[in-house]
Amino acid sequence: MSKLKGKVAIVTGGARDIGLAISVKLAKEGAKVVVNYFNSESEAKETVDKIKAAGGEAMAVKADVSKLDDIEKLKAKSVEAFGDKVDILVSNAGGLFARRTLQEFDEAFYNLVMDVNFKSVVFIMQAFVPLMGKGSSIINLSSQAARDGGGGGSSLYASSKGAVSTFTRAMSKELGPKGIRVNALCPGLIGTKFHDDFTKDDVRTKVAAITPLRREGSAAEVADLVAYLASDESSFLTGNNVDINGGLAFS
Amino acid sequence: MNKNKDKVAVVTGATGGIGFAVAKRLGEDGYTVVLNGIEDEAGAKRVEELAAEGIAAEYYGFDVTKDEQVTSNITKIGEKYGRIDVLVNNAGGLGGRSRFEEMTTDFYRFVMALNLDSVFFASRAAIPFLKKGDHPSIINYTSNAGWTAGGPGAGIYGTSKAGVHALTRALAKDLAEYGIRVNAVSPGTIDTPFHAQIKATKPEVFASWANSIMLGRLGQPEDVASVVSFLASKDASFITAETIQIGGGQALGI
Repeated sequence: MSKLKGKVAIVTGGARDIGLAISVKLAKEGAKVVVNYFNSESEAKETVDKIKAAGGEAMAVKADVSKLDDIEKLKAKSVEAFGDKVDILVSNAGGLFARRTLQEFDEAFYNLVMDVNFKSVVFIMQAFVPLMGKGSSIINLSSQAARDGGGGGSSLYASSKGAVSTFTRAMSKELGPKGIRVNALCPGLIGTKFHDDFTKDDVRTKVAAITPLRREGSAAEVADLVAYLASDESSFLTGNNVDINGGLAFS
Repeated sequence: MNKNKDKVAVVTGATGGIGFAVAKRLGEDGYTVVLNGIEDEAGAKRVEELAAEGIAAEYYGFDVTKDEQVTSNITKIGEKYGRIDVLVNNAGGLGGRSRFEEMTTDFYRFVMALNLDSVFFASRAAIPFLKKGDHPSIINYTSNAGWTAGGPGAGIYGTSKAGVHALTRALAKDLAEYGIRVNAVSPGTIDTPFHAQIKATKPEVFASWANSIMLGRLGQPEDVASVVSFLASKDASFITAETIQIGGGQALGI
């Protein structure tokens, strides 16, 4: 199992939940992984230790990917450690932060959600694409919320993910001629801390029950899809938003 | 290491360009491959080609538009191996071009049978054997034409593929309780013998097609095969009722 051997991968928000699973999976497939984190310092260290223990290569880098200065620092650290070439860029960092209705949120909350979920994707790509060449792959984490408008109080989250899906399509056009593929994936209900924090247990049970596969997905299953989209196996896929939701929602 | 040892894949329409690439890929992945077609000579040759690469393969000649032929053959295959792990409903086609005012009922029925009935017949017959498979799944083929309703004279083709799109989702819902996943692929313009004539006679037209595709080239049968291979694998275990476009960015947002 080494379909990403020798490749360099950046995973934003790569130390927790789905991001953690992605970092570990890409490393397992042979990639050198830059595990970006912001709040999760100890988790980032554990992620890198776990990868190294399995014989892989990884490095943790703290950066707030909604800040352009921090993105530049992340880029500089990546170049210093793994050279001036990046093959795989996974924009996974993001969050819901809180459930707030139209009358409950303010401008600061709007900016927070849009910056972390969307601005980060835009400027991470702007910074890293010059290091990416033919055959490289960009994978953005969108969401089922981008398709269906999201659950209660998550309108800004859903809209930010809608922007991610559209930006993904636009960039697949702009970067396709350079041989860079750009895809997104739209996870449905995945069993993670995200839902531990923001979704009530009875809602999760209910959603799992109406999901055709009758369960939540796992972070590892999302990571498997990311690894596929990162690999040369998917060399003719670009501009796609791939649903991974156990059949719960149709787009 | 062969993680797919003992697994059985059935690929309909497997003597042609894409179908054969899919059969070959699944064979390389370790499956025993059952190829279907209607040209028995070509089928025998394809089996030989696979055997030369060490792939266990068999050919069953039957017409996917005929309920009885499909049901009896799929049942025979399932009973022989005791399982079917992957059913790839690859058979299909344009069938010709016809505008509605001159379209015969026979033509209508033929195109619908070739693209839509065939998926129903084969899937229904395979269910008892898919239930005995490991991470079993069905993979269907839809098309951009399912959304755009097809080019000139291809309205019924488009309609049949829209049917496959809905049938994929309906099967996914219905079969999920058995752990059977059902997905579709939607290939864009793929470089197959289907386009050989235009490639030879109008190379400039053929080349211009690639320019309309973001990745600057036509798809290869292997591009479709690799997506089918992924959807069939355990790595796609939470993906069902999904359609994946394989167009190099050819048709976004549909």
